[in-house]
Amino acid sequence: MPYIYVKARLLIAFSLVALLSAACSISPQIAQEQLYIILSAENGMPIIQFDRNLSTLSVDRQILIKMAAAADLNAEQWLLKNFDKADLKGLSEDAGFEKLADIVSDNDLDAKDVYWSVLARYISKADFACKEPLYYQYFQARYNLYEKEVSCETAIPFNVLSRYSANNIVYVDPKRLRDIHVVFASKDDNMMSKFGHISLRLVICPQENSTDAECDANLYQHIVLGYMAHVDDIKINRLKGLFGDYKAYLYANSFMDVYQKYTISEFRNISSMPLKLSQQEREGMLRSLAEIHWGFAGDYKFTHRNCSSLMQLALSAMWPNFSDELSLQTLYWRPDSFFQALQATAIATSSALTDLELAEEGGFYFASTEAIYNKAFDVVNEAMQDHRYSSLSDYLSTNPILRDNAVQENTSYIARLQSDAYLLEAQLLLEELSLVKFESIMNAEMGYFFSKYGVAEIEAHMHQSMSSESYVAFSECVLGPLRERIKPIKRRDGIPDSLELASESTRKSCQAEDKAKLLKQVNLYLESLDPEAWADVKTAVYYWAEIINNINSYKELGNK
Amino acid sequence: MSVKELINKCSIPLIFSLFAISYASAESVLRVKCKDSASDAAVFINGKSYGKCPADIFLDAGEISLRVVKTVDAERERVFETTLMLRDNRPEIVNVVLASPQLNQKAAKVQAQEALQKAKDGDIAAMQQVSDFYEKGLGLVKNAENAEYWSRQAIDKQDENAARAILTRAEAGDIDAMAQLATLYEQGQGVERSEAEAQFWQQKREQAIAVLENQETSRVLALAKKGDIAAMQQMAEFYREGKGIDKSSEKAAEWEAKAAEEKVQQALAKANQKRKQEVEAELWGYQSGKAYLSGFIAAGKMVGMDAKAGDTSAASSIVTFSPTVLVVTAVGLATDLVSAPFNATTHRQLQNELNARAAVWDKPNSMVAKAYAQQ
Repeated sequence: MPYIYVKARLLIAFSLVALLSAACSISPQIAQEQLYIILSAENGMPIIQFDRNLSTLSVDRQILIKMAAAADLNAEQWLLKNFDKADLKGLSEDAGFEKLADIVSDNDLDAKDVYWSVLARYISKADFACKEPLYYQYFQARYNLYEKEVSCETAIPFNVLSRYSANNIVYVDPKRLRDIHVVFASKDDNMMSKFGHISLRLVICPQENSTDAECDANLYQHIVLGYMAHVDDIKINRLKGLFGDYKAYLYANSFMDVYQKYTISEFRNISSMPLKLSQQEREGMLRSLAEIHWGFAGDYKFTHRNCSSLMQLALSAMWPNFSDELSLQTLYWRPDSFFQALQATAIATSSALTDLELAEEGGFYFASTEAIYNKAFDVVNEAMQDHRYSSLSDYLSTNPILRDNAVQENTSYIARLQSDAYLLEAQLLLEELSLVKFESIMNAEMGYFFSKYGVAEIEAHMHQSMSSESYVAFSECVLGPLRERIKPIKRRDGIPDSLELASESTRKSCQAEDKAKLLKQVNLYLESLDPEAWADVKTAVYYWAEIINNINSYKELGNK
Repeated sequence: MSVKELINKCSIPLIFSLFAISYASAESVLRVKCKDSASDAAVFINGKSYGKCPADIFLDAGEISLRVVKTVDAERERVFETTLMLRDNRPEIVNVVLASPQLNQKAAKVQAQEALQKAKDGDIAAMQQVSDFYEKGLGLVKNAENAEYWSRQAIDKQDENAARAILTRAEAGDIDAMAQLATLYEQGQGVERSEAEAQFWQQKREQAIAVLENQETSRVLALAKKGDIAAMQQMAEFYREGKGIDKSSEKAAEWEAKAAEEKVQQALAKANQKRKQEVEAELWGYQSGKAYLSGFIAAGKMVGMDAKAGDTSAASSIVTFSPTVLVVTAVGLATDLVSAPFNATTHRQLQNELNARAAVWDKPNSMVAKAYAQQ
């Protein structure tokens, strides 16, 4: 943390008057009852004053800028440097700020330090209202520094988790945000029987003037924001998760990725309940969510700091209607309980979930796909005639090469695949489900291999074994993405602007053919480290690739 | 000494003496000489017997017809025939060389009568035989006209029979027979000449060809649709020539392109199959294969990211974790393991389809299906 605030706290504890008069001729005007000078220049001219009656802060920006320029600093830096000479007279952080900082900023920082830092930005930054709307709201309510509303940059960035890269910045136009839903993913078919997971869905329209139906159907651009534990290692340690040793962040995911994870990969149901928000509230909440998304980091605790309670705290900070709701005053540590409580309030449209069939058509309910895949299995098994597989899991556990051999040898089945689109889709469904399952396996195998030896040991082994060129490829294409994913996520002071994000974009492509050649060597060297363990990785990767081959080959049959 | 020995031993003085006598009497002398195989053959001059060969025969000058016959058996004889001009006082020598055995007149007569009867009954071989008999005067009085007649009859009859056979084939749908029949009608060969019939069979042939071509086109089309490259090329040819199908150079080009594409696909499939076998062989060495996968699933670890780490269900039900290892990391390595370049765009497309397929297949009214259609 670049700011030095500890001193300030100590100084407040002693006598502010003596300190200020001795140090820089900044004299507190205690005698004046209305206007209270917090900070003044060396010549005694007030820079920051507080009107007690109006509860309004006033800043002489010309002097502030002049003073900062004289010290070769910008206004924010100058304020931070001189706040320790200021007399806040009870205007320091309060319980309200601490509560807010707890949900907006990095919890590892002291709330008082955060307060000084945010106050400096509030006073000095013209775009503070846009970048840190929740803090702006707090400071504005307390100090009322700004009279006019600031117009903000239209697009709001989110770093949406991608399967393919660590940084995937997606800009959301507030005018295209039609709704915000609370999303609940059940643990199993019985929605209320397990804890599940809770998050928010941004219903983003294709265009500003799109119809509601078009917006609802624009699922491929919808974003889900939810609190997740950040795994700072190659492999998850469940106990660490249980005892709060992982950091929690407000992650952004593509809705369709979330859909795949819950309804296809884990066969869970998703309920999506719209919140009753005005357009202004929606836009405000969008910015606030972005502020939390880029700034918040907190311990993920099993009972009171999990996806449910953190979401509840965030909604409470962002949305007065939520915080005013009596039934939501209690913190729910179980997502299912929270969702149930929210359903009973008038601030959410719970009627959307009354009829699940209609809800599924309307985009409020996304049922587990298990029944569909079982049906597809029955269709395929029946058409293959010899009833080769005893169950869906038997199908999935069969070597994909053998599965394909069975298809290729069965000429009448091939002919049916060519002429029966329904059957072909069923066949593709099974292979695709297998692919989803195998991606988990492939990841798990990779994770296991790397965690068995540790990244450092593997790196040392590779450094020693490989040519420098190959090592660079290994470092960029294998270790790079791994490190990127497991390192602590950079926290920021509010929402970054596009220029800031663009300057940080240093992603390297490892798809080029020359890199592919070098990666071949990487394979060999990793294999040499532990052939037996690497064999599991290779097997998983081989089969994964074979499943993709199967899918492509069956799609081709449909094209003939 | 026999006459023969005498002639042989004293031939020169004798001939000289004969010539002298001949010259003196203004007659000609004809010496008929026979080799061993012809000796004792009967000699006839102008149908009159002059004993057996060899023989010296005094004759008046003039044209004579010499026939030397040697009986082989009851029905056959070997004959030598010639005509020659004898001049006054001038001896002639004829060396007799008997022809191959042939029917004698008596037997020939019997056979000729039999053949004639058969010929009249329409036997083509008999007609030809009768023609021969007439031509040679064998068993029948030599008669060139009759020989020609029966020869003509035989040919006509042959043509007629051939035409009938062709008609049968043509009526059965034989396209070549139809063409032949049209020609026969045009030329009046084996049938009565008829332009109308010729045209009829020509048209019938064209119709039959069209039907066949359609059938062939359909057959080839079916094969082509099944991915038969030769059939695809054939279809291109059909379209180019308008064979059994409307002529279309565009469609011909389409089928050519399809054939080329299929060729590539089949080559790829072949390579793929080979690669699969190699992969299988390699995996066999790892003792993993199906056992490995079954183990994975049996342990219920298909879903979890921490497949090999064990699990605490309480934690997993309340803590949601961010993904650990990037898919692209694993996939990047997979690129070389399987020699199939990874393409993020293609993979994204695959994921998009995958996410929506279940809904599109079974719940077309669901929002996910609508979203897939809209995107």
